[in-house]
Amino acid sequence: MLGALVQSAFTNEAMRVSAPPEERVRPADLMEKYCGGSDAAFRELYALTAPRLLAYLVCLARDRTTAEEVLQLTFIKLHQSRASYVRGADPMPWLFTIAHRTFLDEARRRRRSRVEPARGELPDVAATFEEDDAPYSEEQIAEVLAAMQHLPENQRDALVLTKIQGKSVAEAAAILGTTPGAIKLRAHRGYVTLRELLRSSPEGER
Amino acid sequence: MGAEAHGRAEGTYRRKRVTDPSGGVVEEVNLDAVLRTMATASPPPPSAALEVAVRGAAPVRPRAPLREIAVLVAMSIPLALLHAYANGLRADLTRVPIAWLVAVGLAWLLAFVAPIAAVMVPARASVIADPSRVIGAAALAPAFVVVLGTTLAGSVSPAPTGSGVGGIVACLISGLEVAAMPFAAAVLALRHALPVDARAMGAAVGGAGGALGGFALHLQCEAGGATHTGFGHAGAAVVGAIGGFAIFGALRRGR
Repeated sequence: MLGALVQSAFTNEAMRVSAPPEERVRPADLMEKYCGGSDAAFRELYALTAPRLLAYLVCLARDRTTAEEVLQLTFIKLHQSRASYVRGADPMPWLFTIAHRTFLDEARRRRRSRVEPARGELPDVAATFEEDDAPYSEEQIAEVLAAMQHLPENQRDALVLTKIQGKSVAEAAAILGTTPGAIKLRAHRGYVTLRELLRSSPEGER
Repeated sequence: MGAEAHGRAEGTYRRKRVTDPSGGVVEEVNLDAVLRTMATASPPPPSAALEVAVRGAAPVRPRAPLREIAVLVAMSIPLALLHAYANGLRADLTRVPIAWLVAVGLAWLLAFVAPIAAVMVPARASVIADPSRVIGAAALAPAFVVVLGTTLAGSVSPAPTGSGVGGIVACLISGLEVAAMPFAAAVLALRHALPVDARAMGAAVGGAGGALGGFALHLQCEAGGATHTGFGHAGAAVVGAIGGFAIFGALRRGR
């Protein structure tokens, strides 16, 4: 059943870009070549960074379709803003910032037009994440995703960046436009609350 | 008991599945490991719109923050001096102690340059300005100039005379006129960086512009007194910070 869900969650495997290349190429080098007008460098940068950005956006949006739309908007904004890139800098925190802000703008726009944000079925959303010999099932990921929706937005954002994306406290602070102290506090509180929610979830009582 | 105690250990939570009427199976789940599996997802290929935008795009020159800041400062200070000259330099310019004039002038300039640097020069090896520095500059620069206006530039001023509410308002407007130029230049320089922490950036840039206005007023207005310099001269930085906060917020929403 879950295997079928995994298959159906991915619309067309042939349409997917290849798995991100190993991080032998620095995003900063690709970004410089891309600023220099190289289409190939853009494609490589996309393949390298889009998997992480999409996973981040899925955690925020809890919906694959919305996350994919915001991902495309993020790269369009990156393209429009590429002259703001600073030579030699790591573009990843910047990309996460653009993705985060684009998601917030999109959520605000939908609220204004009174369109309910789409919410995918959690097992489908959970199947979005790549599982390279991961010991945990979509069911367990779906359970964590569901619990995360009960966290305050700022705690969830800090938790996703630090615990899921592995960003340092300073990087997460730069991405979310706040101080490292605030991130540390929010991520810790979010993590403790998440664990409590999971311990007391109906799944645990089955 | 042991399993339950272990289940409450750091990083794990417990799931219990009843598999048959006689009992259940306790399964340990490590939350950190589950979270780590959520780090990547298989993305779709770039959309047609994105492909069209990227294909054959012209090369661009990446930002050079130090050069930008040098140009901004090099353009703003002469314009502030020109503004002061056009409005008439203070009548007591030759009588005031030169050390006081220079020291207070440099303090106004510091309150102009420091927030601009905090906003325009990103953290090391980063594209994004350090939010702690930006928020700090947005809050501290107006506070610094208010203290400067009410102490060094005002009460200790060699010309401790006020000029009433009309004079305060006139100085405030004159200061905001000077603030407009660096503010507009910073908006242009940062227009593509606006997705990032826009309102704090606006407050810092507006406050900096107001501090430059205070510098120009320092050279053109001889009215002293803590009330006049505190509200009239330093007020431009406070109003500039509030205005910048609102304008950058609106610009970002409009994008």
